[in-house]
Amino acid sequence: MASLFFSSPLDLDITFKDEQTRKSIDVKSKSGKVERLPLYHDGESISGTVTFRVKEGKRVDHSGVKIQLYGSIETINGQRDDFLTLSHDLALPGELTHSETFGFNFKDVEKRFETYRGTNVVVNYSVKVTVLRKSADISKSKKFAVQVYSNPTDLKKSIKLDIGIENCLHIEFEYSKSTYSLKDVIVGRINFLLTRLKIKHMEISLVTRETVGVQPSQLIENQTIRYEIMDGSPVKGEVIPIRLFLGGYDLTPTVKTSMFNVKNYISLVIIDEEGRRYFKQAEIIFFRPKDEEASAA
Amino acid sequence: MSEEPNLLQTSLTVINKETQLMKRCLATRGKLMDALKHASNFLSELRTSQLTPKQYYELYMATFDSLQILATFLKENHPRHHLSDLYELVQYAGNIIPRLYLMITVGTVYMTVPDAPVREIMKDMLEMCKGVQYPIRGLFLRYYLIQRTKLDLSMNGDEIDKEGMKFIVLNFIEMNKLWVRLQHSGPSRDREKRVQERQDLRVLVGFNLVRISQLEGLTLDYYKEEILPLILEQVIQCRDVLAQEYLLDVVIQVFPDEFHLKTLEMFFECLGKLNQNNDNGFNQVFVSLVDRLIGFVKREEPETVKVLINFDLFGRLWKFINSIDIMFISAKDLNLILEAIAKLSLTVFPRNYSNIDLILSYPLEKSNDLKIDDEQNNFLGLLRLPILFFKEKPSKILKLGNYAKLLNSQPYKVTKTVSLQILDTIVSTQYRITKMETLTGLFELLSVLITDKDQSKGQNMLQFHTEQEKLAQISHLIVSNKDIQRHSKLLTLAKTLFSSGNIKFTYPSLFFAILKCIRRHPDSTQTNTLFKTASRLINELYRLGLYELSFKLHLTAAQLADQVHLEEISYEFFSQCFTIFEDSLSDSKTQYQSLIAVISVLQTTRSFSRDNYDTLITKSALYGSKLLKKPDQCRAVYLASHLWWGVEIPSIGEEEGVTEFYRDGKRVLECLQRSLRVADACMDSVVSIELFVEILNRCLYYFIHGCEEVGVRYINGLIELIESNLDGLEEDVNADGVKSHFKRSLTYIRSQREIDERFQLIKWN
Repeated sequence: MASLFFSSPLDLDITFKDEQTRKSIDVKSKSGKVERLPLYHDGESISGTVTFRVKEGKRVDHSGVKIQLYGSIETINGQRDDFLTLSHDLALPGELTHSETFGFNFKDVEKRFETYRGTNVVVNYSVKVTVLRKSADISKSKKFAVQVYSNPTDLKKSIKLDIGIENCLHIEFEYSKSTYSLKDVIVGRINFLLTRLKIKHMEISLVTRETVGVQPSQLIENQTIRYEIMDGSPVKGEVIPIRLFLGGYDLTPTVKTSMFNVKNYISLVIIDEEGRRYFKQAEIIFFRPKDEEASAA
Repeated sequence: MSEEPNLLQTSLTVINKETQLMKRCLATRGKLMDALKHASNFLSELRTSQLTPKQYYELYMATFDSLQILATFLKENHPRHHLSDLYELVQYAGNIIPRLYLMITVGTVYMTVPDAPVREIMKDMLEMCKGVQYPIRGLFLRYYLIQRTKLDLSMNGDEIDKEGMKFIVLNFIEMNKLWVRLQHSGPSRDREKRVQERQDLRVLVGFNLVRISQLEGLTLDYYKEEILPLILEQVIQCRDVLAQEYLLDVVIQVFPDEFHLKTLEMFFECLGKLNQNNDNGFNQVFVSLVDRLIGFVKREEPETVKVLINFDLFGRLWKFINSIDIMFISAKDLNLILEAIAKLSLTVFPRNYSNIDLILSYPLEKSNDLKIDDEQNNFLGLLRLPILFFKEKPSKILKLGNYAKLLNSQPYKVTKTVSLQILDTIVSTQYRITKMETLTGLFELLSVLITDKDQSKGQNMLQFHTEQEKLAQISHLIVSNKDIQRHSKLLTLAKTLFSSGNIKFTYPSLFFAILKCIRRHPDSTQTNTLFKTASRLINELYRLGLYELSFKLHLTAAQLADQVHLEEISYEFFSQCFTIFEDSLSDSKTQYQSLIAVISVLQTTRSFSRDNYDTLITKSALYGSKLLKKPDQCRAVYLASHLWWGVEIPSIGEEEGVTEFYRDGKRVLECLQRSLRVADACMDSVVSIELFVEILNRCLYYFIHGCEEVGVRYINGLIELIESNLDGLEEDVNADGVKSHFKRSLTYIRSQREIDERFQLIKWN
């Protein structure tokens, strides 16, 4: 980053408060790039310091120094929504002749969305310091990560569904809940009421669907995790258990914004011996549980 | 087909390779995840559907060994790699087969460490295994579960032990469902093949029961209350013939006898609910259960047997048998069942005849509903059983009132087979029959043999004769040493009983049995009766046209009667002989032989009065002189001469010179002269001379014995007569025999001269 401002007479450096000891997370983009960023929660103050280092013998005139906090959604087709913009002045117009450090503090910032790296959309948070000049401004920004925790109250609501093909198959299945934390376990069972189908196997698919924009230029992307839960063909009356630990997978909490949303679905898929697939899908909500906050702090 | 071994080989190669990789990862610190990945890889080979059960078993064994390596590692590295974490971790495997094998591997190791939530792990593994519904894969997976679950090690305390058993039972139920379901998968034309496959797989299912039976904490109460009901319910519900037969047999074989005893009703109730097409298995099960109980009784101490009696084992078995719906069972199967329970009763309660009788009555009562034939559907087995058990004392069979009824209700072949076996037993053990009712009873059992059609001329002649011969031997087994009266009655009864059969074969031996009895008790009051019975017996044979036999028997009787000093009876028998001789013996050779026999017997008689004796001997001589052929006449007459010249019988203490004998030299001479005349009248001179020589020999006999009427003059005359007749026959080769006979006679005379000087008076040229 420093090289970018090589010609600049001024070095800017943003340091978050307790940056060395604060919890940080790896944020992975869909292309596989990993960034390690400090982690903040919704409502948490973002504070730190900005250090100006003036190069030897140089002076920098400026018409003010500003620190800004951005939260933005950017889509692959160039749309951008800064859903969060906060700004403070750090210094009045003047001259910087020697290195100087300014503190900043954005108090109790509301952060509605999580940092997100999707296929077609990203959510980023950053702090940006700008030295306003008559010529080109000098600025520097630094990203941080946000995770949003929630603790929904209607956890207990289970999902009950059935699939029926007349005179061929009738199953009822049930997932214990419709809302899961990311460390949760999906537990359920499938009750075979009628089965004339020669089933080869049955699996659960977890589909994470990212939808960007609105029709007709909507961009939809699915990510699927497949998990075999039954081998062979059961007879009437069999009850097959479902259990899927979520903690080991890299899942995204359900999110909805004006520009995009991420939804999660659970799908029961039956594949018969002729290779035909039968499935039933239901939406489930994933959330990041609050107790994670405690461990993060 | 030819590709299958290759598939197996390919899979084994993969397993081997991945196992090596897994071992390498286990040896490297921090590579457990990779090791698990490799394990998952080789376990994926078990996802195949292409192999036969036997081939799949090979794969299974290969993976089992590899997983053992992993299990050992996990055990050693706990809690550094905490097993509870690993239990969750392995569940991320996307495919269910590798996932569950890994889960079981981790879970069963976890169970063995202290403070592990054993119950929860067991329950969880069992529940999750439901995900595999493919029969072969499911069976092996669950087999793995049971093989790996070391209940004995991890289970401490009674409660948990029981949980462990329940765990196995539940697994058993699921395995059986899969096993049964295998029958109904795939096209129906492969039915046979699938039956074979299921046979190959059955031990996997049975292994569950074996494991339960091996657990030390298995108590009777728990077995009865919790384990067996579940097993039996599954057996009934699966409604599969193969499974029902196999599983019940396993239950019978693996659990202790005491348990079976205490759970009989449950078992029976189950038997009643089996698949109706399963009558075969049903029998097998019942029979092997009863066999098991019999074995138990044999091994145990007498006290236990007493317990069984109190326990009313028989009553309970019987109650069950009565609950069988007769419509669904063949006579063959019923026989098997009844045979089994009879065997049990005979073993446990050898003196309880009413049990067996009850069993025997059952097929009689149900005979209207049963199809009985001589091929298979009969009660041969049941009928043979008591014979075997009572072989020391066959009369015990008679205590079974229904035995004879059942026996005689069977087809001819069956009845005969059984009767023959009874007969063989009686004969080979030389069983003594001493009671009237025994005799009647045994004869009832043998009636099919007694009244058997006479086959003495057919192709079965030899066999028939053998059978009748054995039957005849019974007469000699009738004894009553102390009580002659009873013995006599027994013999008379035997005659009545034999009378409906082939008396030609059986009467003679009975006749001799009677004579034996008379001889043993010559002075008894029964002698008359016995002789009368003997006489009636002979008359019956006579009426059948057996003249020669009747003649001989009469003669034998006459001889005995004489010996026991019953003159009148003896006389009567002799006169019977003569009557038969006159009326019925027409063949000249027979006549001659019979007459000779009479003469020889008469000669030894001692009880006759002079008159009676004279009548009889005169008659004999007369018959002799009336024979058809001249040589026969001649010989009969010269032999009859002995009747007037009694000689001593040393065995009754007679002595020459002391005892007074009946002797009449004049009549002797008359006889000899008469025979000489007849001889002379023969047309063939060689025959004449031969007879002369024979008469000469007779004369020498009387000469030696001091019959004065036969003197030197007479002998010399006879020699001269022979010599002169021989002159004409010098060249005749046919006369060689006669000549040498004559020569030997002369040599004898010469030799006698040295001992007896009277012989010196006998002279010839």
